[in-house]
Amino acid sequence: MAKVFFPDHLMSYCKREREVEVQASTYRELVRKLGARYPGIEEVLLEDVAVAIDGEICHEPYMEKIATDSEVYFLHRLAAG
Amino acid sequence: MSKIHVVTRVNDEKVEFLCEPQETLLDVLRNKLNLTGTKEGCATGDCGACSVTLDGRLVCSCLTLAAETKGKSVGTIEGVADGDTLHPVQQKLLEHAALQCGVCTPGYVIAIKALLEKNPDPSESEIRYWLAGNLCRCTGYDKIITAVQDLAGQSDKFKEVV
Amino acid sequence: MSDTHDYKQIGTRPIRPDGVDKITGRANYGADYSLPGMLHGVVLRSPYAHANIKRIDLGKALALEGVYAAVSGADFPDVAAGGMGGEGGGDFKDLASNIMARDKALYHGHAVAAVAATSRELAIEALDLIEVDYEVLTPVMNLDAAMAENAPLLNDKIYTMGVNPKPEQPSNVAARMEFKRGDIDAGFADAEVIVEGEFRTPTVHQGYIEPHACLATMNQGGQATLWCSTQGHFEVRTAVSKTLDMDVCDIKVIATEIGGGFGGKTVIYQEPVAILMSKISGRPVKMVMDREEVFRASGPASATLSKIKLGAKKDGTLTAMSCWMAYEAGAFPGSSMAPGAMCIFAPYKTDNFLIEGFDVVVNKPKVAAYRAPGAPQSMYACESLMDELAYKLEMDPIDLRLKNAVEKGDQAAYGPKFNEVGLRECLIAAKEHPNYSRELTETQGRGISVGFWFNAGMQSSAEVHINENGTVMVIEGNPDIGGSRASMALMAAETLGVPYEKVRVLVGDTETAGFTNVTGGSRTTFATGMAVIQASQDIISQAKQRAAKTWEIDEDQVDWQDGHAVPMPGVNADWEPLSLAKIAAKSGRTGGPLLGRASLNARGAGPGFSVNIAEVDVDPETGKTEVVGFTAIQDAGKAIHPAYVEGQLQGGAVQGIGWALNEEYVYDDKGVMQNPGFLDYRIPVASDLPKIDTVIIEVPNKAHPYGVRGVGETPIVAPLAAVANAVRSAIGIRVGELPLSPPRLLAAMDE
Ligand code: FES
Ligand code: FES
Repeated sequence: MAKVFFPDHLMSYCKREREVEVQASTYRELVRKLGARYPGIEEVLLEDVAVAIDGEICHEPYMEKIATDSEVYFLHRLAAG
Repeated sequence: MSKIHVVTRVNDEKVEFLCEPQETLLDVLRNKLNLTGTKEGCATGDCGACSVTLDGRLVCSCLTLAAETKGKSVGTIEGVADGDTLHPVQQKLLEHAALQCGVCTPGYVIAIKALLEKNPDPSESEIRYWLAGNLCRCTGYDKIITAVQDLAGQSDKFKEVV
Repeated sequence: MSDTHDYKQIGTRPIRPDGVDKITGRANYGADYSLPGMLHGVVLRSPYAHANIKRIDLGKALALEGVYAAVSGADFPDVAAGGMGGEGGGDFKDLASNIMARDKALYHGHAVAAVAATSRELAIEALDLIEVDYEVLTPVMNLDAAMAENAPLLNDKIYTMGVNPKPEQPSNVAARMEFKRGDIDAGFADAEVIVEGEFRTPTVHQGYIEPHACLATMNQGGQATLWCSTQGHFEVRTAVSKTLDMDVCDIKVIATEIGGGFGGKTVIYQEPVAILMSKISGRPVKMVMDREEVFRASGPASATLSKIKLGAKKDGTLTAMSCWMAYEAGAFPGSSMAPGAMCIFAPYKTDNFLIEGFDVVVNKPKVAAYRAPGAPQSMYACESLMDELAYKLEMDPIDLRLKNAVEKGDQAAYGPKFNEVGLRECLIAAKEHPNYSRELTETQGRGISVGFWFNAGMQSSAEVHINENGTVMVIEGNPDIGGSRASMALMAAETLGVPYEKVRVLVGDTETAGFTNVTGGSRTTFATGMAVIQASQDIISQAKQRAAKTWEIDEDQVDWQDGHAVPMPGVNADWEPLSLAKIAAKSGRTGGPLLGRASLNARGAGPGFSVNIAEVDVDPETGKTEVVGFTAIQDAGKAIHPAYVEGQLQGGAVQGIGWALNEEYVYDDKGVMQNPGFLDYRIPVASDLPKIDTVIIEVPNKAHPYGVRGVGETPIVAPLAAVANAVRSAIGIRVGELPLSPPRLLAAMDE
């Protein structure tokens, strides 16, 4: 199962859980499953955050593959200079 | 106010134009003669992007009145290359990757050429002080200075002083 | 240190494809375009830093012969609040109000009206005829004033975001953010040494030499064409469509050559104004800022205050790091506090940290991105304090950093775990560099600092066309600010096996290139480069098909080597290898022209670390600091064109040196900037500087086919603290406020 880590700015959605395990093969599936657990988080995870999957940052995540041992971190989307 | 009729030479070509008394050479070059290779970075004499030569002397065209050029000879970036051959200053700046955005570059070409015509073998500090009036925000100056150093001491290339 | 790949062209230093045009004055920048019948637009700017706009009357200006349009905020559509995407990206409603003030002028120089006339002089004359009634308000000019209780408010609709429960009173603090991990109190309790400090940085400008410039024309069918100097013409198109309520397909944006941007040309100022005035007048409108307007009304970077505290064991191991940081956003919310906060502790392994950040509005121009936006300010604070920690521990400052430096597998303070990163390699290269150990005189000092930036991926498109003689045309969508055409051509040449000299690169406009995000975020060589490589690979697979057809064998029996299709080893055919030129010459009979394409949203941008060594000489009589040596070391993953990578390192170093020593906005008590020109806002000039030595470290980024990591932004991060630490070592005193100008240092030395 993939390990998912929540940063502070998502705490209000994820019932202050820092780390959860989710079985998912794509980002969308992961988000759907998280959405079922934490109402309201789905849109944020699709529209507002960037994600790092196994260290690779993706600015606008959607259909990225998630492996069974993946580590998923959410972070702020950043403006570029 | 009546306009001034000016006959001058630009890049060795006879040029005539009408200008206002307060109009700068930079504005005339860019807006009336369509010589947009000379750039405006500040219009106050602080950046050197507008460098041209007036009778062989390096000047900021933003501080030069167009009317002052009457009967004189103006050299701009468009006149630096010799036909289809780049001037050695141009060639060296390219080889050293001494431009990034390139907006300061026409001014540098003019200023460096003027330096080498005056002093074909400048030291690093002479180069840096000569070019202190040309601002470049991209390169940190390093590659520009190196390119000039690479040209220094080759007096044969720079003997024709206009 | 460098990888083992055997590249033929990547890593060489050819002349850039656009070089001749740029060295001969032929290349056209933003202000170099004209159209027949063109009008000149100029902007009326607020003479007050903070004022309500009671009334604007354009009548007399419009009545002047030769004036064909005059507009104020009321002439622009209402724009709904909504994100431009990205923390700190701000919102379109704010962007619209920044472009043309609605009911409030929020900084001295804020646009309140504009005029288009047959000449610039006439337009300026017309500005004098515009009547504006202001109700002048107290300006709020710095963080202390803005965050004070009962501070005058810039906007009574701003309630601090990120505070729970939602505050009851509006405030100048637009947002509060917190990043934390572990147990900060336990971390400090565990520390054997604790250091604390307060650090301030001033408002500074990107200082690109080319002022903002555009030319717009709109036809009677409502279709606009816009030439402008920008880092991203697709984003300009979006912003114009939002601020003028136009359909994206009615806006064509042509990115001119760009005379520097550094983040400051990722936003727009005049473009919608020019289009609107073109619509009204039926004639093209050109708008060019003068240098004073550039300073007064375009993108400075945030002034900041950071209060920071570090705890460590005697051996240097960090046990706790905390920072309270506030960033000025200027007139509208959206500073780069968030990335600043995310970068500050990124170089170090940290179990316990706490970062509290504030985004604060003040009556200054709305800040814009400036190279690694947010990071130079916060990392200046952290790296200065790391230096103090090294003094306290009597440890070599590089050793202290090596003790704590992150490497593959460590969790970054901003969240994810690092893949391969080159921080340790940079630190070791610094330690071994002769500039780190050469003799210094009595008045000289040396300082080091680490720099970091995430680097971005984002969306890019590219096409590769093969001409009938096998030469190559690359079409991509990133304005070339620093030689990117050369790196695109090198990557296409390497991939295809064609000589670099046979590759041309076009930066297409919004109608000829596929959608591509800005030249920014250090993404161009990485992400657009990846698109160019994939489009080139697309060509290779098509060329192999064509060869297979020519040879009447199966496609999988064809291989690609050195720019030629060859039969696979073991395939029973003695065909001569087919060059791209031969395949292209006969492409008509094998299926038509060869056209490769790729579009992507690049993931896996490799973070960029750097280490800088500054050597300074401080004159005890005058307090003037001379930089006598500077060494910039940075991990580029793989340098496609090393000369332009070095150029990024050198240019960023010098911008950082200016930030550390000279540059700052100086305001009077009415909120009017006192130094809006290059004479008084002094950026470094050639005679201020030594050679900038560079070392390119290459720890390949596995997510890019050639190992590239972005290099454009990291270079500006480390110089601030490197210089400050060198000054500290020269004078023996820590001055925690930039710039380290002569009077400030003199005062510190006198104390
Ligand atoms: S434009 Fe003339 S010196 Fe800057
Ligand atoms: S190359 Fe951009 S200003 Fe010099």
